[in-house]
Amino acid sequence: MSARRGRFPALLVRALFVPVVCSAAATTPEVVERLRELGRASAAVTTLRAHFVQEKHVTIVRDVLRSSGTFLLDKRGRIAWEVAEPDAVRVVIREDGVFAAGKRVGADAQGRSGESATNAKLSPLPMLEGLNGIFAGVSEETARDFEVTFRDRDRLRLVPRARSLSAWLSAIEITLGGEAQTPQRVRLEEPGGDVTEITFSDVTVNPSLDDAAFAP
Amino acid sequence: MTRPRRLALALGLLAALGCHRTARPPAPGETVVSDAQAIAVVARREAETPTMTATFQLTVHRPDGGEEGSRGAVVVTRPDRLRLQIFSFGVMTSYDYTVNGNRYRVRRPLDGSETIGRFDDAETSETGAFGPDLRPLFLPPAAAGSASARDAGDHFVVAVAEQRGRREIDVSKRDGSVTREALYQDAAPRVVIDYGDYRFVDGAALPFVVEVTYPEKSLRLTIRVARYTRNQPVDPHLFEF
Repeated sequence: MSARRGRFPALLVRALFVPVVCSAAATTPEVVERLRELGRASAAVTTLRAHFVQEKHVTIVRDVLRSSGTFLLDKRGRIAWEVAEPDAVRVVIREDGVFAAGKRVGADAQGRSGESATNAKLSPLPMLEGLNGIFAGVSEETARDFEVTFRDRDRLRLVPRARSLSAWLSAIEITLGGEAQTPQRVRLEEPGGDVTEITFSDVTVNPSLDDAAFAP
Repeated sequence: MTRPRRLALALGLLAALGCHRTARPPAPGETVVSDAQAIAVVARREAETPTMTATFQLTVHRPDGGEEGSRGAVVVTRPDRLRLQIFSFGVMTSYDYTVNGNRYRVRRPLDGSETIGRFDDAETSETGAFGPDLRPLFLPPAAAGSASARDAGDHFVVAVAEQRGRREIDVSKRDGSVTREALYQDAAPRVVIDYGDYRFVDGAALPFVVEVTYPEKSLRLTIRVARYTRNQPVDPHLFEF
């Protein structure tokens, strides 16, 4: 976690610190041990490339929005979603913000220092950064940020401990696979009832990805 | 009462009530031959789909020439309930707009903001704290009461008086489709909505391309509908706030 903590903004560290201290004891030794095993399996992962198919189940219309493309991850804290279908768009999530189609978006559009107190609490960036860690695989440190239960040996359910994440996501379910135990399926449950399911395929572990891969 | 007097009274009542309102609209796709039929087309459009859902692709065309695309969903329960969501990155709900009666709520989760207000508030009903009032796009008021129509060549223009101006709706003579709708405040249009790519959905012709222009803001939206449903049960809780 030390590497992750180092790249997380102070905001997120502050938001997570108290809940972690209070609830860390809730994680059973069995869960911690399994997380440790998974952490060892994914420890060598530094970068990922995968094809993704994403399905967002929209509650208000009982319909599904689909998209697909290429997912790129740098474990140092950079993610790029290169959406090919239905419309080409590139979304990059980095320490310095979220970029879509080359433009900074969201509350961080004016820079972190420009956020109001309210906005900072609900900025999506901590949530997205939190997901960055998840997409790289899970480890013992995952229990710091989430209440972890195992549905089966390679399927976990994560409930965010911190308000900065739970405002956006009520739970995450991850199915791991491959030698490096990287996520094969991720299910994101929003407080409003919407569910997004992401399925990864053609996963390449540790491909060569330069800075251009994560340019806005 | 003498026969001429009874006849005069009947004619007077018909004139007062607007006898054209009793006209039946032509079948979908058929020609429109009278102003009364044009008014009936508009009334039918609003009456035949009490509930509707749609998913769509939204493109915002900005004055500087830039474009921004996202996807969205809308659910409508006439006469006065609406829920609209816009999704960014394909996942995140970036805009969540609810109308319930004369109350509205706007949530912008990416900005961490939420606004609740009333349309009858003079300040918010014009442009709102959230931007344009979206009811004209999805919840136009019923046209029956105060509608009039005029012949405009290849189409009829149905005019409907509204609280803050008037709405003009172009009805094609050729096939009875509504091709354009403009909301006027005084002489200038506030919003112009062009409809195209009509397709039948459960027996009703619905537009799959909607172009919305805000002339004063030099802002244009293109809505390309991916899927409609009509007259399905809608959970009333979706509109609660």
